[in-house]
Amino acid sequence: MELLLSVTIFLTFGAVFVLANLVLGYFARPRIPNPEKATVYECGEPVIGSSWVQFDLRFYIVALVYLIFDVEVALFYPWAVAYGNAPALGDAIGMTTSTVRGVAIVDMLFFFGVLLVGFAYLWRFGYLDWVRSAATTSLKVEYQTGVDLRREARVLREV
Amino acid sequence: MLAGIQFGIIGLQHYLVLAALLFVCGLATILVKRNAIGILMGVELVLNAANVNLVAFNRFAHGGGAGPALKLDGQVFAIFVIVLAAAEAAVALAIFLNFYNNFSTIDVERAQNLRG
Amino acid sequence: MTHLLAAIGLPYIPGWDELRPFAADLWLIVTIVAVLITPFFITRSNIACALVALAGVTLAFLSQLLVRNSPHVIGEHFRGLLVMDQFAMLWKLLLLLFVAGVILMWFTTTASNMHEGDGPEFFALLLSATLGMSLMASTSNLLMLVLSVEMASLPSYVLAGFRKTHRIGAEASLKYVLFGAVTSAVMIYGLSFLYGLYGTLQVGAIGHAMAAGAIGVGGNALLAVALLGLIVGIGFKVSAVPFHFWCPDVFEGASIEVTTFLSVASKGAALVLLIRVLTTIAAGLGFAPHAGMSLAALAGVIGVMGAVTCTVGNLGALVQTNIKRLLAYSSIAHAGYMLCAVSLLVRHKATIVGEDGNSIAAQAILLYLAVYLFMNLGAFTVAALIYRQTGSEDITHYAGLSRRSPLAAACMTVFMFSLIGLPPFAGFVAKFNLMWVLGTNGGWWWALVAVIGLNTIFSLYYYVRVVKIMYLTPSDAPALNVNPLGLGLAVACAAALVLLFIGLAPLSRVTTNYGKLYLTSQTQQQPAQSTAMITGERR
Repeated sequence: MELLLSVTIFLTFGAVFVLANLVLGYFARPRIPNPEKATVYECGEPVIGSSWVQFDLRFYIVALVYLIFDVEVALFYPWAVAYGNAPALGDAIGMTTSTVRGVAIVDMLFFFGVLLVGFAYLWRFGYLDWVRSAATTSLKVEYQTGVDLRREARVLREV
Repeated sequence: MLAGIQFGIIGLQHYLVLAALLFVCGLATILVKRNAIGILMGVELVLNAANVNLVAFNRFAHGGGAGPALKLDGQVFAIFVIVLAAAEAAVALAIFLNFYNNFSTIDVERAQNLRG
Repeated sequence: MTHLLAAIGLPYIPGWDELRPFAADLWLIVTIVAVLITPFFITRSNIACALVALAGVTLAFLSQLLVRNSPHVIGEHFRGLLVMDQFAMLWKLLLLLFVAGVILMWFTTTASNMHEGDGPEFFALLLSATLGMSLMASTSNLLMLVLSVEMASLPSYVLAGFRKTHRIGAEASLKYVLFGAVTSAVMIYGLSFLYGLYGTLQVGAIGHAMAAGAIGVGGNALLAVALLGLIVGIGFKVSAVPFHFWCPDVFEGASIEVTTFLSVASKGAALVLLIRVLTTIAAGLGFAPHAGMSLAALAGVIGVMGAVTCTVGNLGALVQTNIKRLLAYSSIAHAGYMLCAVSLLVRHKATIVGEDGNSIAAQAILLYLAVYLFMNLGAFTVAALIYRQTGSEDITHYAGLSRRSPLAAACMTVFMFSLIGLPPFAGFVAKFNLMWVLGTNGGWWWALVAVIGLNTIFSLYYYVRVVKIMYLTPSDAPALNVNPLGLGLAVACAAALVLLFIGLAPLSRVTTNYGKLYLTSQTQQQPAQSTAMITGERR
């Protein structure tokens, strides 16, 4: 019975999470229809043609960021199991459940906080921007002293 | 918890042989491939061989048995190795990208400006 | 679930008493985060981040100075994951001092032409690598060993290729990351067998388990694989000979302050880690041979490796004309000298490691590192200053330096003579001390003394050539207008070398006091059943 409840909650949460994000995206995104966006597989790559193409290098940068946050979950999992058993842990060492949970939360927040600092850094300084990525990863753009690529990137994006 | 599962005749040695095969495949990949990403895949195979070893040793030899002292050293080590492999892959891919931007290839044979 | 938890044992929540000995490492962590946050508030972030990093390293250094040798501090912490002793303390102090020097050097060399906005990343990476190297001195657990080595390696790979549009830098970091990833993977595979054979990740407990019983023929083969993996992994970091190919390329391709950082910090940390692991295992074995684990053979392997490493380093340096490449081969040679001393650690108890864990060989290596730090920092600083002015790393462009910049030339002469090991500079003290320690051990170690002596003669040629070009080769190149801060750093390093020679007694007293390693005395129950299972032997 308990298992059934868990599975139900899991499935419901999964479905709601996906749907909520789709709905949120529908309302939040700008509507700029153009031929590229109307194609079947809207990922910036030509749909028909040889599959032996060099993918745009900028995808790899997004993939790298994803990789870090994906693997972080591997470390969260044991933590979550221990957190769920805080009452038993507390009994074993003579601490209240809330103290154990408090310590666990602080530990986890420290770990996650450090990751978030890195993420905030990426976001704030434009590493997730499509245009900046072009500026830093393509040799076609020559570095010039005194030119702030980030500002250029932002200006370009607004255009 | 796991005591109810029957593993049949498969024992520790089978896992060790599997890990050794993975290790050899990984090492062969590393030695043969000229593509940097291919070499990285070989490294991942070697790391996974280590993981199989660690988990198998933990399960069959050093788990503490059915007694009160359950030990998870090997499994925890394996989790950390997984995380480490991902971090290493992230750094290595970033460096390969940088190399690609400069040389328009990730063939390691092309990396021969520095020598002597 | 509850009984599962009960089986794992009591949960462990470290208190402040556990954290306090590691104040320096904690300050480094805080500084890494602070460096990443700084550009959110300050526009000219390169200089600001350098200052934050320098302040953080200084704080870490001061907090490390305040850690006392009390019984609460010395010993194992965090359930044996980390260990703190005098040896680790002195290494942390040396490392932090050196990193502060590298940051000062950055101000004089790259500060003005680093792309604005790259500073936070550079210093976050530099300090992350420093944190890993600092933890490498405190590991007594295989998991922490792997984590700290990787913590030191991964940022180093990126640092080597930090100049994004620099082709040679990109190539250097590619070679570094490929070599490093392969060797560390092989090391982890080897360590998995060490865990499998002895059932514990604690290095001390592994030593005791080794002493407790034989592991059979199959077990011995696996032990050989395990030790080979360990030697591959640490040998790469030390750049010991079969694994040294990355070193000259990376040193030439990386920017000069990164090269400086790697030359001392990375190799020193690896040596310190090797000393810690080998001594802990040897102490567990009671410094006596046991079935399947011949300490004399291990000492022989390391001694031969050291001898070959210093010979290859010196022979390679003979033909170099690029100063960074020359110093790279020189650093391979110096790592070889220190490896020779490491071979002592695993043998005699009475003369080498006393009852209180006081190790003569550890003392010799600490003293060598303390002196080597100033020699390399100074030599690279002068090279960087000249590179800033002339845009050349070729030593033929050092012609007439005695006239173009007398002070820089004089400093470089001091560093070169000190690197050879000539009096009246501290390099002589360090090398003599090392050879003396090897010599007092007698027997085959005299061969190592002879190899080091012979190598010193080889090394005369290429170090003196630099001095000769500076003083005797005429040149009509214009005078150099070197950065005063950088020149000050070089002069400070040269002065330190002279002062350390004069103040030999206090230096040797400090390193002797701090050459103490914490050795576990606990005994571990021998996992006989498991090893029999692995090796397939019926009891």
